[in-house]
Amino acid sequence: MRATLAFDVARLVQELLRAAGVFVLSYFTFLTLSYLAITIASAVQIHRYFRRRSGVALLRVLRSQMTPPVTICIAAYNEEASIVPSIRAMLTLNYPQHEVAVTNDGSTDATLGLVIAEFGMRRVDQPIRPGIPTALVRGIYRSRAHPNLVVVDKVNAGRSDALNAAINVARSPIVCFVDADSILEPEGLLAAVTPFIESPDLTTGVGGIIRVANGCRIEDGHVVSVGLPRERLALFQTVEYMRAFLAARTGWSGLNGLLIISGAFGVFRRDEVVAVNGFASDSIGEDFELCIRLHRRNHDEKTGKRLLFVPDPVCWTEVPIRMRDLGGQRHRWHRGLVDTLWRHRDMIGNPRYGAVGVLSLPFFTLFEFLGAFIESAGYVIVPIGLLLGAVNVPFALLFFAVAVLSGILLSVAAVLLEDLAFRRYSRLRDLFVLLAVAVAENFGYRQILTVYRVRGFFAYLRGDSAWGTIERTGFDLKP
Amino acid sequence: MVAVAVAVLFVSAAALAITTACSMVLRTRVELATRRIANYRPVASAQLAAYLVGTRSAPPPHPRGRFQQSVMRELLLSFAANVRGEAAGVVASLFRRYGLVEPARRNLNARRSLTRIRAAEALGAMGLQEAIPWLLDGLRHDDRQLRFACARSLSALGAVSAVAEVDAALSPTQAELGQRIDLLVGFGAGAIPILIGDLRGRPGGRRQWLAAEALGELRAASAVVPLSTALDTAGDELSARAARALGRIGDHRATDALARAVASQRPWFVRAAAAGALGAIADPATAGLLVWALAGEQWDVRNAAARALTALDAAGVAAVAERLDLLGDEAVAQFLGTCDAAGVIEQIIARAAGGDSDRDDLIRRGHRAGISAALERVAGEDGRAGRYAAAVLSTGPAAHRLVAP
Repeated sequence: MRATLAFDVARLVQELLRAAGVFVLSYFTFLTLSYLAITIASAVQIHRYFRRRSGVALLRVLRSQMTPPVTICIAAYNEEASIVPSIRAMLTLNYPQHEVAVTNDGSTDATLGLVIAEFGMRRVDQPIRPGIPTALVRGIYRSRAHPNLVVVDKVNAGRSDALNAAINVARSPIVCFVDADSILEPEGLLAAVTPFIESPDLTTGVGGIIRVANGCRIEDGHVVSVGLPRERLALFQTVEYMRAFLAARTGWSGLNGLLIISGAFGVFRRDEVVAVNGFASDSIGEDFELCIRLHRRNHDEKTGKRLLFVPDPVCWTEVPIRMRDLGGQRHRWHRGLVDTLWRHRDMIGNPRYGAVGVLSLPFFTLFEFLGAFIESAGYVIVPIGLLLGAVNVPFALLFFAVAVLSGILLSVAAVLLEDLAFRRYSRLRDLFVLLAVAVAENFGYRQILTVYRVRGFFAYLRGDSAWGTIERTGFDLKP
Repeated sequence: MVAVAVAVLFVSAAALAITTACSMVLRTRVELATRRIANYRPVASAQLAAYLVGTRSAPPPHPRGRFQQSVMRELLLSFAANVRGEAAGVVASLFRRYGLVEPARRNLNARRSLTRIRAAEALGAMGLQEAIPWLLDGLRHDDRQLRFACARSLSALGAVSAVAEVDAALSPTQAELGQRIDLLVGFGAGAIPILIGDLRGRPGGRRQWLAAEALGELRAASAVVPLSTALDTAGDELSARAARALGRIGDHRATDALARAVASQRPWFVRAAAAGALGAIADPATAGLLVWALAGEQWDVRNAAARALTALDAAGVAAVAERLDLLGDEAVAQFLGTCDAAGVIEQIIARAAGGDSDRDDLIRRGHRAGISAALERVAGEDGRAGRYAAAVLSTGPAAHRLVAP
């Protein structure tokens, strides 16, 4: 009797393992097809984009009388190493009318002092629009030599709060958010603002592509030559950014389902951002969360407005080169994802929210959020099933082939898309390196990131809201 | 399921292999072309630049073959985008001399859409007046992107007489209305009748909104009456845009309509736009009304009024100083804070230090309302103004800091 029971339990376990294995395999197949569909949508979108954008398009925007003024909002916390050249680069962007609003978010280093000294700032009693509530503002500084520069000094309350303070002092109808340590290409703003000229009353926000600055040569706050990073981790991230921005966001934008405009570089209508109360100070993934609230408002009020991704304007950013920093970053990103999905769970699968409700949010829930668990489960279940005889060797090989090859397929597709459309890495050798990285990242790197994402979820459940810091080597931004 | 997975795997792997192979072939071709360009382009570019600035007497040699022609065309286009006046004429004449006009004309009917569009743009960028009829033909093409490209080139060529034809050919979607307006604005004054027609068209549409903005950008004095009518009678969104446009035009005939809007019970954004426009027109006669608006409830209306009064210069300051009884502390601080940000508060302090009692009252009232930064700056200076500022500061701390939330 006991032997029969043990036999039944063993068979049940085997059956469960086999069913789980089939489920994971099906999931990976579905995932691959879905990502492939998005990549194809991106390719179509990029083709259309090039048809509409000519070589003189940016010059036209520069000279057009309809080009709107823009305020570039920068949040700075302990950025003494890079803030001055960063502001200088922003002030010299190729754009007809722009101001730069920098918020010193209670830095404990010499950030504020350096800016005051370098740009001849003086404290003024400029009234602040009571648009979005923020932490205490200690002072506003303006400069006679640089009338289009304004600095807000406030007590520390995080990046979201700092950007909200910058939005409150912004005078332009369009605001652009840029990380203090990122580098915007001189024509980047022109390209990003173009949709606001073409469809001024139908555009809420525009995101541009973020590329990896490690390995590039930077002078006077501008990227003067593009190169691949030497560090292996940064190389992996180079391909990853191509996949995320070029092969995914472009496609989502075409489907009117773009969920994220990166906080490192995004352009928005100021009145729309104020109407949704700016960045949520208590959110971990504040850029993602803001976009979802903007989508919600657009659909609730039936404005017909859209969030778009333009693959041309480039912002360069330094990525972590230490595993610990990368882990912290991904940990935070996943907590941000879970937090935002949970806050807006009523929109998931809700046809009221159009493509965002029925396509993008379910996709993010199924693949970006649950994907980490299902992938991890697959790596555990299939080997155990193989050991216990629940799955056979061909099945296990098929699983790993699908898991690995799907990743390679998507990464290679992103690299090829980049090469065919933009070719920012012009040397043939770079292309081979990127293709090799697209293959190699699926053996170890991807799995490690999966673990960070799983850990991020459990940290979120524990209520961990730490931002974390990334040790950066810093650009050579000296003027 | 397993079969599906295997199928997906094989199809994906095959697709990957084919795409990679195609990409490599393409890349190799590009690499070879790049090497050829590396030999020809820098030399041609340097010769062209030297010829344009006058340090070389002869232009670059005639390009030989299709490859050199295409490189030279790109070079001339990039130069054309960055030069003006006589140099632009030289670039255009080289474009003709190298026989690039006829290929561009032919390319307007090329099979590839991108080739057609680039050809249309090249003809416009080069300023080739003889291309106007060809571009007008292009307006009738099925390819809407080509129609837009031809329209842009016609605008660049200043073909004002073609503006109605251009507008008729565009038939923009809702998402392209901005593009259409941008294009029409490119034609300058010639587009004003069309834009006024839009403004008077079907009520409530985006066309009206954009037309109002465009008329403002064009400083269309002939549109003052229809814009004033729109401000008086249209919906709030159009009224606000009409007010901003009237401000840009800066015509005194619009003052009455703007004043009515400021004094009305309409939403804050209409009143703020109208107050801002009065500031742009800078008619001292409106100072009293702007002080009244400065005393209002809405922050944005007060802000617009404060900026408008600052733009009125001495007349604005005098109007505020005379009617301090009407204004709350917040309004006074908002006005002086705006003056501070605009860099004119020092003049007010200097006049107050010189014995102007109205301005003295204004500064002291402002200090009680929280204005201190400018006084602290001036107090650090020698002279009468410095002593005056120090004296005002010594009367006690500011009631509250303006910048507190």
